[in-house]
Amino acid sequence: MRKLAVILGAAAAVLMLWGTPAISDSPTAYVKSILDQALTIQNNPALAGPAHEKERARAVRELIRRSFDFDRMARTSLGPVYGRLGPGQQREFTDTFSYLFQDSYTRLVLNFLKQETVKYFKESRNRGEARVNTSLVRSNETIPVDYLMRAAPQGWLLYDVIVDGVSILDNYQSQFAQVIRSQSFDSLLNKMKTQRRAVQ
Amino acid sequence: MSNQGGTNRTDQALYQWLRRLAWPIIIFSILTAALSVFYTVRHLTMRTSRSELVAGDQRLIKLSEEIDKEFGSRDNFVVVVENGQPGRATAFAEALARELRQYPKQIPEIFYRVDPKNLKQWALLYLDTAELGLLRTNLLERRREFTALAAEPRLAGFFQVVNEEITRTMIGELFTGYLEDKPDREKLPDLSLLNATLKQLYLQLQDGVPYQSPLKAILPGELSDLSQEGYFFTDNNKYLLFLVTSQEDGYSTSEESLRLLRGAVSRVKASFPGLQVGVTGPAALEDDEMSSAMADVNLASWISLVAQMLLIVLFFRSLKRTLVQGLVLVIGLCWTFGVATLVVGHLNLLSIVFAPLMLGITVDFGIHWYCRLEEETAGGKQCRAEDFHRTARGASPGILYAALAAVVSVLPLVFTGFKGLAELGLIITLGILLYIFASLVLLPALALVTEKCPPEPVEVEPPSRPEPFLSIHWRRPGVPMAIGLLVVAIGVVSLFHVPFDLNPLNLQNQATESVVYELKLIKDSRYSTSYGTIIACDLGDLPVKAEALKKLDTVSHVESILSFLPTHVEAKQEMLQDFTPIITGINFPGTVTHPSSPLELAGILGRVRFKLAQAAEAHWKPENKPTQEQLDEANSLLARLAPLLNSPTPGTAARLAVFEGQFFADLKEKWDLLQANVRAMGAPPGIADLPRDVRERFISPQGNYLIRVFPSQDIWNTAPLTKFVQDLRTIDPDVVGDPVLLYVFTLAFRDACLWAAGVALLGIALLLWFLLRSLKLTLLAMIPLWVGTALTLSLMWLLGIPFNQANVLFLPLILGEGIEYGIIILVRWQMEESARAITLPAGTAKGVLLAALTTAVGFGSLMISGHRGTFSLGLLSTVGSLSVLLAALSVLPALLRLLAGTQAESRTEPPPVGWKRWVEQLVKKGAP
Repeated sequence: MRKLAVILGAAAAVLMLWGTPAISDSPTAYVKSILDQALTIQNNPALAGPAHEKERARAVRELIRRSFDFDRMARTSLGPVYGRLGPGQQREFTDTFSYLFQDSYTRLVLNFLKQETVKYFKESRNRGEARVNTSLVRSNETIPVDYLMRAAPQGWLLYDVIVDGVSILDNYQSQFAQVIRSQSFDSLLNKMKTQRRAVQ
Repeated sequence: MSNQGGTNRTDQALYQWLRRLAWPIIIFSILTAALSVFYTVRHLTMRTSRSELVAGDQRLIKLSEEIDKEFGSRDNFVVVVENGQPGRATAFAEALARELRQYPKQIPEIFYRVDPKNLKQWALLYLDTAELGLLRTNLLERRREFTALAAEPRLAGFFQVVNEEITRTMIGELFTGYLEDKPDREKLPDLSLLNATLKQLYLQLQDGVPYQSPLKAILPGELSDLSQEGYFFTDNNKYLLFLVTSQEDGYSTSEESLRLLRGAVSRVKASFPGLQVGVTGPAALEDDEMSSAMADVNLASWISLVAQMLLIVLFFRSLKRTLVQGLVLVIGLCWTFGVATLVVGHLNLLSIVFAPLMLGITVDFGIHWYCRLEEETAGGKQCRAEDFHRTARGASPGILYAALAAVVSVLPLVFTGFKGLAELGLIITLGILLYIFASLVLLPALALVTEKCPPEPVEVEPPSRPEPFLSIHWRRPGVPMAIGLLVVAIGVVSLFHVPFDLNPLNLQNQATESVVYELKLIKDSRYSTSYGTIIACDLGDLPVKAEALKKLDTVSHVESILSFLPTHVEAKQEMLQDFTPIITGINFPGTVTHPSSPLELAGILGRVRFKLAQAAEAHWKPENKPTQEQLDEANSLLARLAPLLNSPTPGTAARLAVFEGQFFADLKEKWDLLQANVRAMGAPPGIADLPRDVRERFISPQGNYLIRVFPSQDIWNTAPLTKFVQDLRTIDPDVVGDPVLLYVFTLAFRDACLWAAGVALLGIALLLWFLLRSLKLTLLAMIPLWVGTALTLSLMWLLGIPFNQANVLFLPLILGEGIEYGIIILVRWQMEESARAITLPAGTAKGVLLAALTTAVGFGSLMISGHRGTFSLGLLSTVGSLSVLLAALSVLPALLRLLAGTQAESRTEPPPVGWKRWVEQLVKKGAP
């Protein structure tokens, strides 16, 4: 009976993930739909507990995979270096970057997004891009989180998240630049591939 | 027959002479004793320094005195403050300094702090490279924070910057942590400044306590709080040292200064309940040892005298005879004191024990004399002139021989070349010589006066035959002989198993404060109040010697004037260059732009708490324990602050504003100091910039430089001491200081004792051979010595008693005593046919027994001493006396019994012994 409940819960979560946000939705609605789905996964009793962590992670990862613009993020994170790469290198880098980002962001969601309340504040749009200001509230503590996205044919796609003033994409840019400066792009890619093997 | 007649005439002449001069002799003796006491009280001094014991190395003493003269004999006392809380320890030091400054005459100098004010502009150069590296890391990592704070000097701004830093680190760790090359990198930024600030903020909001700089968390102490700098803490910060120089003018002045210092420490300590403080240092160790030894020896001397008198009363059952012997002992002791004052002039750490030693040796002479008188008067009948004649004739040779043997046993000490032993040997030698007069002239005179011994015998009775000791007839002499041989064999083996403990601290009362704190310093820190001293003639030679010394394994650290100057200046200047742009590029305004509100802080700190609470749930590896501890502390402080800030009272904002103002004023002050350091780094401090009291300690007016070398091991033990001194001598053969003196003292003492014992043994053998004119008799007389010594060594091995600098003094005693008992028994056996017939007359045995018991009691009294050396001397002397006694009353008579048969067959009349023949010849010439 318990096993059945777990299967049904997982199936419901997966079905929800199939729902693709339409461009007609507002940026806030888009962000809200993602966060609601994430909270649903995290708070689903059928997936609760350490025993179901892998299932939760799989579901969250799938949500992330569909919500972010990895091509743009990979390109931005490398800066001018990206343009100097061959198509094969670009593809390999983007693929590896995408994989590692999904893994990291999944852990962020799993660790930080639990029983918190999400408050939505203002949204701003500019030339096909948008920014939604939110905050995570836990008892008396509040963490501001801003979501940056762009309009794509299939709908909105996130390309950066700013947590309490610190941009994830900025972090990538500075860290990647440091490794390329002190070592090389190949070294950076090797490290990323090594990490990918480690988390797979 | 004519010989007998001559002897009688000699006896009568001596009797008449003594009878006529008895009172003049007694009065003369008492008057000279009183004069001796008067002279002693006026002129005898005490010398406690160990250097007073060493004369073998005159050059060393001369060098030491020259250095003392050149640099001043300073820091002879060390006040040790146990450093539970540095603030309390330094406050105590300041209070003690105020107290001691009231006694400039007795305490002319104190040295407990190098005031950092004049050197603060070079504070960064005084940091070691590790501390400077840490400061560089702290400043580089917090560059963004300091820049933001300078732009907006508000507490809210500070916490916001910290919050961002935490967020940045957490994001970085989560998304790009794998790029770091160091797998053991911190998963969180250093929270020490945040925690220190939160703690002070909490205390301020809660209690309004005085401000304490939280910047200590990231800035070294030399910059963060100058009021706590410049004090002398040991390397592990466990003890604060306060050096005191007292007026030095002999033991009594030094002891008075120590008493004054301890009084001051006690008064100041009353204001610091719970603080542990003690006084040690070279002079304190010496003074404590001397005071303790003097008090114990005084008490032991009286106990010894009383106990010996009680024993004599018990044995003789005569108060009169006991008092006579007591009077002779006291008069002899007074004479010895007088002569010691006249000839030597002072007592040292060794010669201070001469009184009990003297009493132990010389009390025997009177005992043998009275035992013989008792035997002659057949146990209680009226003494007559004839009894007196026979006593004087029978007892005197043995007493004289024993006294001479005792002189020979201690006389070699005079020629050891070791000043301490030489003085002791000289005093005891002179004392025994005086006691010969006291025993052979004063004692008979007193006996004549007190016993009456009428001169007109009605009829001459033949002397009564002596009774054998305990009615023993020695029918199986082989058994004691065999046991004796076995004991000697075990003794020889024991000789290789009894160690020689030369650690002077082991001699002292371990509960003495100076010893307790010296041992604490040795055990818990690299500091010792005992250090080697080396002189460098110029500033070029100084670093060469100092560096060479630092490389020695036996050296823990080296102090010179260079120790007060920064080291590795060029490397530090390079390191400073790395963060000079940060320091010069950021300037803090003196005031807060606009005060932070409690609610504003609550919001920011809530965000910090959100993240840190999350981080606390992570599973930290054991190697990240410091981070875990910081995290726990931060979460705890944030949890306590949250209600205060979220629900502020009317006073909360005011207290917050006060703290905020102090925090930024503090930050500005320290930043200005950093900027001053950066400006001054091009011109590092020189010797001329150092405080005067430092320069005076390490640079002499003649321009020589002093180097203090501290040992890395416990140099109170011989092996590390030897290695330490030998190592120092490879750098400079002219090294001096307490360890060198101790080394010379230790070796000289051991060698001197062994040499003196060997020479004494040879001297005694030659003396006996001269007196007895027989190798066989000489060897026989030495039997109790050999067997007694062997038994003593066996017991030392069995009981784990080592030789040490104090109990080694028992060697001459056991030599003198072992010979004395043998001589007394042998002379009687040799002189009298009646004694030979029974082997050991009861009167002789009683004398030997009582002599041994009084010696045992006399020296046993030293066991009341808390001074371990004195105690071990008492213990070993007691064991030695009783061992010799046992051998004298068992093995020697057994051997004599074996020989008696063969001698009886070979001769009919014993030849007169040497002294008797000499006296007879002397008296015959002068007789009418």
